Amino acid sequence: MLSTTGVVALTVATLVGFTAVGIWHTHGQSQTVEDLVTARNSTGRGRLSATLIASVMGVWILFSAPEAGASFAIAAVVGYGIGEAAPMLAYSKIGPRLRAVVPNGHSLTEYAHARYGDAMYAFVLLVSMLYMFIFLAAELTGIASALALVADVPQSQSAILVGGFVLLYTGYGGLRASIFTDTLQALLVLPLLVVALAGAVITLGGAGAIHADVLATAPSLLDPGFGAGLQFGLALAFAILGAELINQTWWQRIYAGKDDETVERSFETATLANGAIVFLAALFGIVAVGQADIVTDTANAGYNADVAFFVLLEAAFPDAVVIGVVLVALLLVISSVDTLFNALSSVVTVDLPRLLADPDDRTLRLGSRALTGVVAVAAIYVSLRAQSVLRLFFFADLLGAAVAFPLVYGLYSRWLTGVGALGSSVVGLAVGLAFFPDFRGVITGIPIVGGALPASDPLYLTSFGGAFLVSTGVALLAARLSSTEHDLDDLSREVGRLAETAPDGGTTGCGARSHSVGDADADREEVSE
Amino acid sequence: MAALGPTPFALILWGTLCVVALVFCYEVYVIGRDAGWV
Repeated sequence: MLSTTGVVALTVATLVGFTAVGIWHTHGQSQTVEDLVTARNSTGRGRLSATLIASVMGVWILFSAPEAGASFAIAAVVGYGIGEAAPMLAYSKIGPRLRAVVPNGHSLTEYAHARYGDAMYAFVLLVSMLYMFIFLAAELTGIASALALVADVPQSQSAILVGGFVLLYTGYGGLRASIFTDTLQALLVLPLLVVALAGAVITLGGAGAIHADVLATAPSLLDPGFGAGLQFGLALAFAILGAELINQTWWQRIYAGKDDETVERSFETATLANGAIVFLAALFGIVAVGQADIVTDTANAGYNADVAFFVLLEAAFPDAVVIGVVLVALLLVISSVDTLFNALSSVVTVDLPRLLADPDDRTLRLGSRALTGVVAVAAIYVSLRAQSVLRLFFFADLLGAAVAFPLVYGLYSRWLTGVGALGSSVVGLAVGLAFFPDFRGVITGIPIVGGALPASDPLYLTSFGGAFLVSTGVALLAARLSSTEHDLDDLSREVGRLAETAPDGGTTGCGARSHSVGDADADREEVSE
Repeated sequence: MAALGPTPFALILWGTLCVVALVFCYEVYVIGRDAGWV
């Protein structure tokens, strides 16, 4: 086990470094609330790809991905990789479309409100916030568990340190600070990951020796046709695709990209990178089973597949490799926590003009920073007090799988109405819940229908796949049968920019949300005159 | 279905490591190009 003091010192040094860099990068820049929330058209291809890689690669890739490999074999490894790549590929097409249809947008909830109305907006807001908050709390829980495992660092210390320092630079610099530090983190994580994992393969005697050990211990893990693995892998692909399509992180970055081509190419790069990284992390779950005593039976009190990667580290590697992995884990968690702080606060910030009476830019900036603080404190608290929040992760994935297609389809179809989108999401969710294995007592306790539900699917495929495919089918049908047409051009008129500081130090006002783009542009021209 | 043999396993393992390494090199190049360094 590593020295506790040494690991805490490494953690603090890393956090101080990134906090200083994040604040330095944005210090002295005149930041409007638009900069804090979208950093519109500011980011080139290299940095956009880097932030797309760093944002999603949280410390979870050292926990959940190896757990899937260790428990569900090579097919689940492939499923996880595809699942992580698919949303990025989808966004490479959705991104330019979103920029064309809602050119002055900021968030997915804002789009949901303008396109579908209050009910779908409320549903999307709930689902998206729940998913991102659970992701955030799980990241803080994850790094706290990792540092406790390798160096016995008290869990509360790790969560408070990470959350506190990241809050400093994210609250100050907003999305620009997040994207800049993400770029550095991606440039550090990628080579560190390659060196640490290649070093691990060599230390274990090479790929041939690793293969022989796995074959001797659990040969089914190397069977690509292992049924349970195939089902779980496919379930993960549906779950991750659905959840990432309702993740505000990506919607913000679509607007941060310099132009449409930058957005398309950057998401394509992230497709390859994120798929490969998660595939590799999950593959190391299989490697762990061949090297250490990994218990994959969840009914067994000694179940440790969820920390398979760290069990492998402790069993087989020198301290230098372990320290390298600790640094990777820190970089991973910092990059996703700053992203989620900003994404969560931005969703509410964008809605403030609807809640407050004509707020100016200063009020919105203050609101954005205060909300970032609230999100940080709440996430740290939940990660420390409610470890069972992790059980909600699959439930949040299910909600995402049900709502994702109807939400996004509105960018392409003029005929899908708010009722159709909400209805198809609810029908998809009902099908998913019917087969959902968690919280079974609550689900079967639903009056009238609870007792008639089919058996749950412990591998989640019927649940996630059912929710995604049924909501997709119903949404397509609803659009086909609809007689109400929504003029998509209205979206560009309904969604305007937030208040911006005018050259004279005043603001252009916050009625921008109800202005047309032309009005907003005209306002700015009047101010400059 | 039969278990994956040692050669495909090694190809998958080292191949994916190489992909991540190449992505890193590409990222460095594109960031450098955007900044006008290359």
